[in-house]
Amino acid sequence: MKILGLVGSVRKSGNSEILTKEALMGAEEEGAQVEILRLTDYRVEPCTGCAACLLQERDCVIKDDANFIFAKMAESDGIIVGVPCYILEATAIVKQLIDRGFAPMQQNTLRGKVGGVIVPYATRGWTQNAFQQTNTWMLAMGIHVVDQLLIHVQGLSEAPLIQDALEKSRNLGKQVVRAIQTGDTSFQGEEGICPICHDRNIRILKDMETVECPVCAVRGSLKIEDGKISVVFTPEAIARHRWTVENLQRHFSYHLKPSKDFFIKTKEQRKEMAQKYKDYLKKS
Amino acid sequence: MQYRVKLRYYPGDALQAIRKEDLQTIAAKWSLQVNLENIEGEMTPKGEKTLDKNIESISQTVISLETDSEDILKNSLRDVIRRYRSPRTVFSLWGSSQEGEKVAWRVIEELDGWW
Repeated sequence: MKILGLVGSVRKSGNSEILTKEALMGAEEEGAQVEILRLTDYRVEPCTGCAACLLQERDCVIKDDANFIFAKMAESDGIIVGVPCYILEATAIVKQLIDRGFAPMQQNTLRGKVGGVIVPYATRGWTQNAFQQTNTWMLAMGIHVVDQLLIHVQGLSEAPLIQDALEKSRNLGKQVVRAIQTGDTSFQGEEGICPICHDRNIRILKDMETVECPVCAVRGSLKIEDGKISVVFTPEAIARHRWTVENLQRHFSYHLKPSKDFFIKTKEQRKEMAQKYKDYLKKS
Repeated sequence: MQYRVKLRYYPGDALQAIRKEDLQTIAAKWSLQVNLENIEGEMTPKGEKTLDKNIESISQTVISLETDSEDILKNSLRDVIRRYRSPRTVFSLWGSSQEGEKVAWRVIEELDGWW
């Protein structure tokens, strides 16, 4: 069994790397082989929106390291991501890999693998979107996230000063291995609101009646009792979440692929109407 | 002016099943013509083939609204969208008349059902 650690920080031997390694040590104690990649050591260019991956059902055509990273993930049974929270969110490398992840998403090359996420952060109250990105990335590819940790630590290599941080990270590594061994990929972390991603973010829709998890699109309604808020999700709504195989297939098949026909049907009209924008502020 | 709007709901798009009797209720309420068409696309063992197919030929449920009143059109669209959410794609109004598409686009932006 192989567990891959992915570090999303430019800083070498920083808190993200330390905590990811602590998790990998925990995985090793449970008998796993481990490997680590520092994501920021690799070149990952922005997605160009060419749609080759979608329309030709193939790996990304951009010649950089993204396909290599996804291939390493595909070789592994478990994936542990350690990425710092910078200004409310995970670092940009996660977003870059979300955008470049269409091919593994469509080809299901990572579906069924087990994941864990560790996010070190500096200031309480500045982490609201951190798990949104890691969950968007992992759940889109069908990875079962069994735990996600927010670790309060700030300065360079401070993580070893906090015993609790080390214990939690080591335990996360063990949980990932046990989930693979037993097949029980139920979430082991601190419960959130959404029953799918376990985060605490909720959107209120424009109808001012419906709420939903912004990552998983599970719809529900708010209830307030004795001053406490709860979100009520029906089993039907939970079963319709964004990341099911069926809903992802529908998205590719009915929302994306047919756009090619629309593109062809509107070609002349678009060409004519877009010309003025091509000419405007054009550098001579 | 005659307005014609076609709303194309692909599998999984509508919030609930689109039923003829529910659409007939909307048609009677607002006095306009409402039609329902269910289309089944080309199935393969790996799922439906939708690449390089005509938009009109892939699996979908098409709700057609026809009226010569902009207000009636808007009101009926609001009822449809509140019940089913708006259709999801930029080509979901394909086959609508130009003026019908403009009205529908505004109502969809107003209500959406997804945002």
